[in-house]
Amino acid sequence: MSRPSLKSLTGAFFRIGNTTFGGGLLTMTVLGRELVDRQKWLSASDYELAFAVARVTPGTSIIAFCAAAGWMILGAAGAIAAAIALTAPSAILAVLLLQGFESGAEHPFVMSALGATVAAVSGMMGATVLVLVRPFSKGFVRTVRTLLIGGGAFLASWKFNFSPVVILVVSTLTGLVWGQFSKDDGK
Amino acid sequence: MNLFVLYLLLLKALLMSFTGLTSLPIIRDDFVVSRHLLTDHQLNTAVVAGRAGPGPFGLYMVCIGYTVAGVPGAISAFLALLTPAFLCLPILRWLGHHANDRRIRDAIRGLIIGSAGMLLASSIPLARDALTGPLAIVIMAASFLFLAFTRLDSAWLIVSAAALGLAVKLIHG
Repeated sequence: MSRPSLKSLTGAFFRIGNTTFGGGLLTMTVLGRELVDRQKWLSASDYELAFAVARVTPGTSIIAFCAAAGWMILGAAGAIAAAIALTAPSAILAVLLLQGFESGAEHPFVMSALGATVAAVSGMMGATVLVLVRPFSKGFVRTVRTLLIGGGAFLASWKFNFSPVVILVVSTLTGLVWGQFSKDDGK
Repeated sequence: MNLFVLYLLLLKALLMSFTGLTSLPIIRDDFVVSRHLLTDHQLNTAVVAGRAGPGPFGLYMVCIGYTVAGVPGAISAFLALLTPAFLCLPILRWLGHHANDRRIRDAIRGLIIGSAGMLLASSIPLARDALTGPLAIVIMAASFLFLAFTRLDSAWLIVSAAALGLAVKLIHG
């Protein structure tokens, strides 16, 4: 793995965090492509670890992911820089948007651009699902595991409105139990 | 409003939630119902502003801080938003030492796959809202394909979609 400068690390989190619409999971997936595939600052297993830890940390998981990934890459300075670079500019923009909404400024051109952006985000969310499960779906047994856990989580959330915490706990335990009874080496 | 109390109220809501908007019922109870610091309309506007831009959905808390106490309130809320993230570092250190344990790997993979299933569920309402016509379908399909099968930076997808939406509005009025 290569080790970036603090400036490069901050730049990557700033660029991706403040241009990716659609929430934490989507941003984590896009950051994974950048940090693992493009820059090679993190290994795939470190990325999986940061992702999992972020999901079980209370609060906003994408900020926890930034702290975890930044920590793995450049220690405490990396953790702080990554979390602030991803969040601060978007926070300022959110306040500006709030001021805009309060003053009733909903220009038709802006609304048209926003509508197209929402469509892009929607497509990107679908792709994120595919990108997340693809590494764990090679071969018949792993594909069955993905369909069982992923399909179960989908139904529990969409159809039965279970709490995210319950779904994540059950998914984690199912992954654990599946591993104990499967001949798959888990790599 | 006392900024430290604002920080603590938002931190409490964050510590009791695991995704962006699951803190909303707690926030509403504290800010709208119990303390009358916000109206439901102000809360909804803050949520919309937090979701309209890039970044985490939890940014609506910064908008709440701004509505309640101006720029100092927004800064206080921003600090509350960042605080729980650093709780992950001790967990990371512990898990890092056990990262090669097969049981840990299996559990992590179960959690990631479960997260993907939940994301698919939460993407359905957004897709319904987004599918407003043929242009939206083309943009949605193109975004899916580019993100899933190329290494194109996602920022380009967003910028291109916004430019396309703007261009169509300019042409058709």
